[in-house]
Amino acid sequence: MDRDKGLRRTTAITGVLVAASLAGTLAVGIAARAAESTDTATTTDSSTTTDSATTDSGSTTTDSPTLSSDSDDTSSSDSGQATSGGS
Amino acid sequence: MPLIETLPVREDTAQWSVWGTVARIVVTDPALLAEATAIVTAEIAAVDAACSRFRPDSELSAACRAGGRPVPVSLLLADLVGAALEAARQTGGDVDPTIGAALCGLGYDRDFAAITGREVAPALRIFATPNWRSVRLHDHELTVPDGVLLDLGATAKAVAADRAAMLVAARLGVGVLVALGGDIATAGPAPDGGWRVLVQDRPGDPRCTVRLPAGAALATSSTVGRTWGRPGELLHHILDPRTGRPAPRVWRTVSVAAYSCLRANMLSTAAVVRGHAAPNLLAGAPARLVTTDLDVLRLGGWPS
Repeated sequence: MDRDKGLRRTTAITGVLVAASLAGTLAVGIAARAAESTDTATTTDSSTTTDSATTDSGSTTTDSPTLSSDSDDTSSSDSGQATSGGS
Repeated sequence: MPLIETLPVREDTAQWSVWGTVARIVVTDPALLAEATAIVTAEIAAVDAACSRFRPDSELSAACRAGGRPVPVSLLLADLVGAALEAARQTGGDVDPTIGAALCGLGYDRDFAAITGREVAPALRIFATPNWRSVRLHDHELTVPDGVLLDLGATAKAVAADRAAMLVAARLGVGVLVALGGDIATAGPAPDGGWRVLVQDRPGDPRCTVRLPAGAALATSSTVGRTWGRPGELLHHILDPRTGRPAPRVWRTVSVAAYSCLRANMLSTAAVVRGHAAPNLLAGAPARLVTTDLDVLRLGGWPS
């Protein structure tokens, strides 16, 4: 009897987990596709975890440097040692 | 078109092409330029082998093909993925490394040089909604959910600049500036007056030159630098993970200074994604934002 009750409980819990998993995979995105691309496969987010990944990344310093203006700035082509532009 | 470097190459400077853009280093002692260049070149090659999404033999590609199984990864890839996930966390998901499939869907599925001028027709594609929390990294074991394609483009270049600059300074005891496209990192002692950096996106855009103190970094994100598509539907590479589409062009260019290139790039990229809400995100960081009308907004003490 207890065994049957345990099985029913396990089945119910499994059902809830499956339903939650399916709900989590329904999110989709839509985008333009390259004309010549033939990849039309549907992919879904297979993860049901909400855990944040742990990382060992450094560089979390939030102090900000103090910049100064270059008084020599002109429209010439020699106004710096490197260029920061969009890449 | 990626960064256009117009500054002269002097005896303290080396410059070459990499990742569809320009790599450039400047050292405070020209006698050490060759050694410094070798260190930077090797570091870039290592980063490329670890995390290029265009190389089937990269560690990252292998992890994405693992069908959701955990795979051991090198310390370098763990650092790169860790940086990308940390950027996602700190920006509330604005900078999300799981946008790879969305980028491919938009046609950016190979080295940028190969897609410039490519015609893109509207079509429907369904892909996994970007979700950086679905990626797990524990003790150098990486798990990428099946169907998710990681793109570390937003952070890996910045991390590479940080790492290369620190390596040069540590090994050679010299001051160095490493510029990879718009991402600039410095390490070691700075020249008198600081590192002079020209900030300008496209030729003809508003420009200024700023001086960075030793150890500072500067990154620029642009909605006009890497574009492709067709007339009337020009796409750019900075996606809003919530839509899987290029972020609306509120800003043409955003430049941010910080004490790491990773942080500077994270903030400049997120600012593009945030659009009008960018000033709240930047909160004190020196930043220069250029509108689509070429008006300039300076924040956080960016010099005028």
